[in-house]
Amino acid sequence: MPDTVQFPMRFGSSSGQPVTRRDGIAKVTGTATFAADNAPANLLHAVYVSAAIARGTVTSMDVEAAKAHPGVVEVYTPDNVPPLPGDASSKPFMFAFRFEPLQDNSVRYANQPIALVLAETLEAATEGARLLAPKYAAETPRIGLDGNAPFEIEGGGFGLPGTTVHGDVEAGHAAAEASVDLTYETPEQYHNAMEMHAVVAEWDGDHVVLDVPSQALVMSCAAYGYYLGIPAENVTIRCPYLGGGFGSKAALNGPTVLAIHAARLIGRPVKLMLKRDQMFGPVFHRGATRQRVRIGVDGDARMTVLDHESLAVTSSFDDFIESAANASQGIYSAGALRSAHKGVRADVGTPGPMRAPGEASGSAALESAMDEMAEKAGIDPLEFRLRNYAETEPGSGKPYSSKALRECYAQGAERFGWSRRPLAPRQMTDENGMLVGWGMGTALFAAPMFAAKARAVIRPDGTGLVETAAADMGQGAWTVLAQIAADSLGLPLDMVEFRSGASTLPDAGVAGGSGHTATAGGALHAAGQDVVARLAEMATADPDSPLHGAGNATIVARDGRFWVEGDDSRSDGFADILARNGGAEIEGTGGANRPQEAGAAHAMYAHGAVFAEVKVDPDLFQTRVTRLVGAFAAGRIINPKLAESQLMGGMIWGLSFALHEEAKYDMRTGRVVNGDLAGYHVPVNADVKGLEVITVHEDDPYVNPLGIKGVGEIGITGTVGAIANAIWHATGTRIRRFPVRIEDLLAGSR
Amino acid sequence: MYSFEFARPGSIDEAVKALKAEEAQALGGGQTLIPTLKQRLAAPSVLVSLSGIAEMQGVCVSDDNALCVGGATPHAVVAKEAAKSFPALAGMASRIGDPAVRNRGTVGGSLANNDPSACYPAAALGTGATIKTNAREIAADDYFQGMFATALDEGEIITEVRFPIPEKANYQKFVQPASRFALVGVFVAKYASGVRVAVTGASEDGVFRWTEAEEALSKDFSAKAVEGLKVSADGMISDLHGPAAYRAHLVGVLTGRAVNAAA
Amino acid sequence: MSLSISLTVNGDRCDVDLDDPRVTLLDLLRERMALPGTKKGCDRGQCGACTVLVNGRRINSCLTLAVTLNGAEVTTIEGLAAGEDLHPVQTAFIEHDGFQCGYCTPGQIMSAVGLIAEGQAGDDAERIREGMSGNLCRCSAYHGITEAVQDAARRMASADERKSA
Repeated sequence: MPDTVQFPMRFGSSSGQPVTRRDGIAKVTGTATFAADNAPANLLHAVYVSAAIARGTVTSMDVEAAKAHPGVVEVYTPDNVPPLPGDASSKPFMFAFRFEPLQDNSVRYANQPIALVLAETLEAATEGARLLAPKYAAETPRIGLDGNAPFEIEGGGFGLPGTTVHGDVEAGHAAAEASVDLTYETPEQYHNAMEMHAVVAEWDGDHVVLDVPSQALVMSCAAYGYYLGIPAENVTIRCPYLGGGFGSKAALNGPTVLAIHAARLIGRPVKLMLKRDQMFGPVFHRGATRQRVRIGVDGDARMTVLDHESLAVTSSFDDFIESAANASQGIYSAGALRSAHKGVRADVGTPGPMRAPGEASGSAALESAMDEMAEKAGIDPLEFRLRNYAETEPGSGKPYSSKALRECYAQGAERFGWSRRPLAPRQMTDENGMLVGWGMGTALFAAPMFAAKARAVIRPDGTGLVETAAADMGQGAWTVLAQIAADSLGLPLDMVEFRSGASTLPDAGVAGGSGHTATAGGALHAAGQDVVARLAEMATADPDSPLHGAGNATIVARDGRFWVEGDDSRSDGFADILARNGGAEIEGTGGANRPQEAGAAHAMYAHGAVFAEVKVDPDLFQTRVTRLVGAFAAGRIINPKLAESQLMGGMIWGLSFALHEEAKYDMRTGRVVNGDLAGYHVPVNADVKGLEVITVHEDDPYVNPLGIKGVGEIGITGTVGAIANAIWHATGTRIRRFPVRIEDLLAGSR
Repeated sequence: MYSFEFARPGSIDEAVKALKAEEAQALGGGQTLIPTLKQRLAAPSVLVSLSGIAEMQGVCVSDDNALCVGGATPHAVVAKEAAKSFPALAGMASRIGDPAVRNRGTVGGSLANNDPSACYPAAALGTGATIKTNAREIAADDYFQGMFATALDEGEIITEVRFPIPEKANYQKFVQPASRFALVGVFVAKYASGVRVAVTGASEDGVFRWTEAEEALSKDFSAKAVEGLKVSADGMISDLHGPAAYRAHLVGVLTGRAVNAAA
Repeated sequence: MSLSISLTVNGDRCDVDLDDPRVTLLDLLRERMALPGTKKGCDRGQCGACTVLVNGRRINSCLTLAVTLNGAEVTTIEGLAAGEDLHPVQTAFIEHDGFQCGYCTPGQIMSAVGLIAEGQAGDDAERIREGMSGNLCRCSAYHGITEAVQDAARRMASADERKSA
């Protein structure tokens, strides 16, 4: 791999420091620019009309009324929209999802775009869209896990998880002395980033500049280019900040492409921001699942089999099956392992990756089932997990690149006070008579790494400039990547300028899979090392340098100077070296990717243990999570402050999964009935207290040269099960349908 | 939003005149009306803002010991001003929606809208309040006429609400976690003449008085007195936030808790 | 229909001719006054991202028609800092990592300023959590938000004491 530079692990002065966010001032003063904050001259506002049915056709729209409204400039319907140059129903590249470019009058899901209105003001565009008052010929929609016949998944690939079997599953079932056979359901969930999907598109000939939130800036240029029929290099994406992504801004979506198309047709810049209710349809979601988990144990509570099946909903016209059953791979040692998936097609928008795709839903079921198995075996749930601790990856037998899960269990349990937990449920109450329960779960998430490139420069004044097209959706790329770069350059953080968030910079890959820091950070580190090596060579070859003849191998970069290792009398400043050698800046480049040998030889995951305390009102069955302790081992932590925020955010998503989130469908119309932030519950501040995160030290020489795993998604896994298990421990009621509802607890108590 | 004319009267008289226009609509704090307009569920020709009418603002205690609240007084003002004179009502006002809503939303707007999940209807019915309009005075028992329905005539505006101050009272609500609307709210008020219990959020007919509980509590003002009482789940609201049986269960539990907490 | 209003935004007196009565304060700020710091998260008063101060009190600007604000004093996130000097709430949000993506942050901060001014919560964590619950944060930076508000409330209280001493 020629563009990959191997480099030794190093621990500089910036990495590991809990520095505050470099974009902090911009974000607290309102000067951080999100896509829809842009307003080029001559701008038109776009609003699209959402289908009010889930299946059928649009029979008419009152285009004249809309066009007659003052300020309305154009109304696009299938009658007048020229086809997109690229086929929206093809899937020509990775992460391509099918969408509706207003080419026919069919409706495939509620909230599908069926017309687009352009107007001089937002108010006129909004009213114009309303005036279209579409009429429909509706067909009965197919909704939910039982809305259609399940189908087998053939092949596999992105969005199509197959079946994975290790060992003799039947023999594992037969050998079990005790077993559980449990079915869990998880609902449809919608990302609902605070920033709705939005775009400002400005064309200049066959070039277009897009202000659009994107988790993959360079990759998206090629994708937009394909649909718009222009080369990737004609597309420029500016995205310094995303107002949250959670997976929904990793792939292109129909409404955004449509708005860009409209801007070209009308010959003026166009701004589109989805309305909150339009976030429930065309911009992905987490598909519902029904999972069957069967666990068998021998007389010593060691697992003879872990058999996990999942049925998940996808759309009628595209494939994204939540890979929930795969959560049972890689986590516990069992005699035999099986993960199997089936799909069911419904008249909904296509699901997509949503924070911890597959793992979140799968972990919810698996960790709940583990608790039930422990109960049946009569042992402590933590002891049950330790007894089935995987020393090597189950199935493959590969060693883990690193795995400090045992330490996570120990430190989390210690902090939580787990040893005082009574085995039986309904044993604890607090001073107000609330039922108290404690539960736990194991957290696990893969540690992937993708390909990326970066550029690094040392300027004549000795300061550094580094560049890569990373995406900061809140995880802290602006800060953490600069910390990595500063160390690679041997410069203090405040002497490093970091350019990011624009597609004109080197490709940083996708901010997804919890792999962005490892990926973009790896590339920045390699680029920094490259320019430092070049500058060092310049110095050691320079007869006027104190370092002349010292040789690259013996000198180190620190605080903007090179030093001969072990000899503090010999050093030379970056600026001085450049000044003596022509005065020009010096440039280096670098790339990163997973070292292939290490990837083939090791299983790579971040691990954790989550402990939850809930208090349940014995009369109302209102549940409050009062303590949540998570201990995570995720390789090297670049910025503990920001990593803690990510892990806490993930744990609160777990809380949300366990107690709040659920899209409810009207089975007759196929519409989401709670498609707004008053009906679709996510945690508010008052729902969150007693949160603690422990990061467990872990050195990983294999995962990537920097030893980084991800922290963005693992916090959800483990947490959902921990809370559900704590609710059982408080009430004695097992709820196997998420979110846990008060009325189910009430019914369970009777 | 449909387009509309906008009027900002400075007095009740001017407001009443402005509301005589066809399809005119009064605008209080707008916390319900603006979303309704955005969804085009209402199409007023004239929007008459009541927030500039000084005589409809403010909180005071009358000679006959009633808390008088101007119709355009925001919840946050009631929460603050009534804290000493009528703590149960102030506490209710301090927990409506979220703080931003409490700074705009008004008592008149809430009662005129009569949302089945709103808090103020429980306080008004639970205290036997008098709703004063530009034209007349309406007793709370006559005012509420089912979900979103009231005794108000077209163009009639609530200028003041008088809540008789009880010996003891308390409001308990089980909040719908996202919107902070009452999934069920119970207002219990003890007067020399007897106890009143009003329930919001629960019934398909909107706010109602739970007479069995009132009778039991009038004899014995203790949580024990209502322990065995149950309301029927028939006619209770069943929606995605909670089924009818759960709401019926909440009514019983919350009433007991309100009695225990009454001060 | 032309509607003229006169209001003060971040200390500047502005005369606004509205061509449309439907314009909300939020859209007035964002689309017509080049003040996009205030964010739209739902346009229905359900998320708090658009929180600003009107006459010192926090409100949802998406639920407020601009025409109702004649004579009002509006403070947005752009008007909070005094030049380079951040407001104590802004500083505390940075120090306690009270945000991730930053989209809800202008609303959170304006809401926190309003909460502290209301004087009801002090530095009591539970009351702050309740008082900040009209502002959703999907990144779920709630732990840092609560700490930041607590910290800022304490700092502002002690600064007030020093002033009055």
